[in-house]
Amino acid sequence: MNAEQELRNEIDNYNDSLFAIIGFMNFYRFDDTSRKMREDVLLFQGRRLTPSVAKSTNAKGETVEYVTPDLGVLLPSGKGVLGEVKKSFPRDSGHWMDDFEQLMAYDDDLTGWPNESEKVSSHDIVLLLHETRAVAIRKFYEQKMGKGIRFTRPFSIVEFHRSSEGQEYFFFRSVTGSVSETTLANRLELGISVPMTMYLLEYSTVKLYDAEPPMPYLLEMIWTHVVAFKVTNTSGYKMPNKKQKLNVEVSVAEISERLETLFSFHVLQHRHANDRQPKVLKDTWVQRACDALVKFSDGEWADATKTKLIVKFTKRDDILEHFVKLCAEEPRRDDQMELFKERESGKR
Amino acid sequence: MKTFDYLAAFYRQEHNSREFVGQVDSLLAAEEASVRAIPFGCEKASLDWLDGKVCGDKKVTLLYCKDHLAAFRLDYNFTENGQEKSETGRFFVMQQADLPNVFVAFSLESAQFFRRALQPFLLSLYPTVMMTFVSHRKMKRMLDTFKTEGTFSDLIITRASQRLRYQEGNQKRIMPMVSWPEMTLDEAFQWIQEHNGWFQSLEFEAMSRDRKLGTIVLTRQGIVRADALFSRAYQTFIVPTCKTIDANLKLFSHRARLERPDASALPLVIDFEADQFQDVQENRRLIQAMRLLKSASVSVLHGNPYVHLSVLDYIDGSAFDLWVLDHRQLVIVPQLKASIAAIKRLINHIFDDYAEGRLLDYKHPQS
Repeated sequence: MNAEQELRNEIDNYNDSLFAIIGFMNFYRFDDTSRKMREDVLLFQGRRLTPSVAKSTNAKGETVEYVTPDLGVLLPSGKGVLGEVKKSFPRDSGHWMDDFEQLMAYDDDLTGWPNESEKVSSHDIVLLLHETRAVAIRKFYEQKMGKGIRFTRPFSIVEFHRSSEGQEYFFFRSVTGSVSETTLANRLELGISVPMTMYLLEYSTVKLYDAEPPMPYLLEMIWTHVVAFKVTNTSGYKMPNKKQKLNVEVSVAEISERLETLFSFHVLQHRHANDRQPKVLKDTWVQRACDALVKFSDGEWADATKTKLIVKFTKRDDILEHFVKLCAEEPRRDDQMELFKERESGKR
Repeated sequence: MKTFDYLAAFYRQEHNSREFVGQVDSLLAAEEASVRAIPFGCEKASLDWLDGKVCGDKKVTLLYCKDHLAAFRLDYNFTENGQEKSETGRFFVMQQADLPNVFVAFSLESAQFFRRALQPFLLSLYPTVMMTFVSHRKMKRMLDTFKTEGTFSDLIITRASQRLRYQEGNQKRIMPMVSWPEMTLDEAFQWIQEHNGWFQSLEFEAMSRDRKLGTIVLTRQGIVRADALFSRAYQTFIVPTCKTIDANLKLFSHRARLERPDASALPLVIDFEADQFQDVQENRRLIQAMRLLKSASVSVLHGNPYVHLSVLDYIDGSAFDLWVLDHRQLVIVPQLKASIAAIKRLINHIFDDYAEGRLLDYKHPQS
C-alpha cells in the first residue's frame, strides 16, 4: 500500500469510527414507538469526567485528573453509558491491555455527567470494535478476565462493520456481555443494521470527533469551509484564474471556532456543554494543519506568534487529492507525519 | 418593396404586460420576423436595477416601464473583419404576474443581436440572473401539449442540437451533435433516449396537414424562438417554464446551513426512479461526470461502495456534500453557504452530464 492509499484508509477509518459512534449512541436516542429522536437523552463525547478518590491514581502511580470517553449517553432514568470506539487495534497484543486499562478507568463512580448532580445511579461500559478485530479482542478479554481485567459494572464488546445490501448500512452486534437496557441488549445479540441514510444529516454536519483527524481530511475542511468561505465573502470577490492566488488572512482561532461549532460533535452536545466539555477540535491539531499549509506553500504566517495565517487561495480541481498527495510526500514517523511530530499525547 | 416598417411602429408604441404577447403575435403576422423569449429567475424582484447596467462593452438603458413590462435599449460593441463596430438594439423584460422573481426577456431583433449582445449580457448577470433548464421529460411533455392543444396534425423536427452522454472507457463524456433528422416528435425522443442524451435545442414546424403554420425553436434553457403561433408557444412553453423557475427558486432558497437558526442541513434529493446505482461501476461514472463540473473542486471522500463527495463552487463559495447511499437516490447536502445559483448550476450539471432524475425535498427516513 502506498502512502496515498494509507492516508485514504486513515480517512476511511476516521469516518467509519465517527459513523459508528453516531449510530451506536442513537440506539439510545431513537424512540422506536414515535420514530423520533428523544430530546431527553443526552449524548456527549470527550467530556471530562472526574474519577473517584480510589481511582485518582493509575497503575503507574500517576494522578488521573479526568477520563474522556469517546462516547457518553445520559438517559432520563439517571443511568448512563460510556464507551470507546476502535476501528483499528494495535497489531501487537502487548498494547491491548492499555486499551482495557482505559476502559477500566470508566468503571468508576465518575463525576461530571451532564445533569444537575453530575452523577448517575449506574452506567454501562461498551467497547465498540470493528469486526476484523472483535474475535481476537474478545478472546483476549476472556483470557484476562479476573487476571488483570476486571469490571464491576456491565461491560460489553460490540462489533460493527459497514456493509452493502441494496443500501449502505452499519451493522452492530454484541460479541460478549450485554448492555443493561434489555430491549437493546436483545437486539444487539441478534445484530442491528442501521442504514447510513438514517444519519445522513449527522454525517454531513458532524465531521470531527475527539480523535485527531487525518491531516488531508482536516486541510480539505479548512480550505473548503473556512478559507473559501471567507475569500468568496470578501467584497468584490472574483473567481481566480487558473494560476491566480488570492491572499486571505485567517486566524488559527477563527479556523478552530468555525470547525468546532459547525462541524464537530459540538453540534450534538452544545445544549448541555459546560466547562467539563472541552473543545472537540484541539487547538494543536489546527495549529499543525496551519503549519502544514505553510510547509506546502499554500500559506504563510502573518505574524511571529503564529496566530494568523495568509492563505494563498487558488482553484484546485480536487482539494482533498491535492492535500493527500502533499501529505503522502512527507516522511512519516509512527502513524504521524514528521511534520507533525510535536503531536500531543492524544487518542487515536 | 417594403412599404411599412411594422417593427419600428411596434417600438414606437408603449406596451404593457397584459397585451404584449398578443401584440407580438400580430406583429409576426404582419412582418417577416421572429421573436425570442428568454425566461429567467432573478434574485431581485424588480426591473429598475437594470437601468444603466454596464457589462463589459454592453450598456443597458431603460426606455420605459409600464405595468410590469420594461423596454430597454442595449448598446454594444463588437469586432467584425478586424473592425470595431457599435450597434444598438431593443429588448423587453416582463415580470411575471404573481411570480415576482421570474422574468421573461423578449427580443425582436436579429439573431446577431441575440447572440452578440442580449444573451451574453444576460449570462454576465449570473448569479443575480439565472437561466433555467428544461428536463428532457418536461420538454417532451410540453411539445405533446403544444401539439394537442394546438390541434396540429404533426410537429416535424427540422433541426436538433443534441448532447449524448457517452462513455469512453471509464470516462463519461458529453458529445455534441447537430442534425436535421426530419423526424416526428415521438421518433426523435425515442432516438435520444436510446442514445442516452438530451436535446440542447429543437427546431420544429407546426403542421396542419401539409401546411406549415410556423417554425418554433425550443431550447433546454427554456428559450423560445417563433416566427408565428407565439401566443400558443408562450402559453405552452414559457408559462410552465416560468412556474418551474419559481418552484426551483423556492426549492433552492434558504438551503445554506448558516441561513438556519440551528445550522442544520436541509438536503435535496435527485431520485432516479430506477436502480441507477445497482452496478457499482455507476459510482465511478457519477464521479467522472462530477469531475467535469467547471469552476469547482470535487473531492472524493468515498467512492465505493458508497459515494461521498465534497464539492466547492469557486464562483461564489457555495459548498455541498453529495451522497449515494442506496440504489436510486443522490442526496445533495448544502453546507454553510449554498446560493440558489450554485444549487441550480450543480443540479443542471448532474442532469446534463450524468443523468436526469426527479428533484425532491429530502425526507428523513424516520419520518
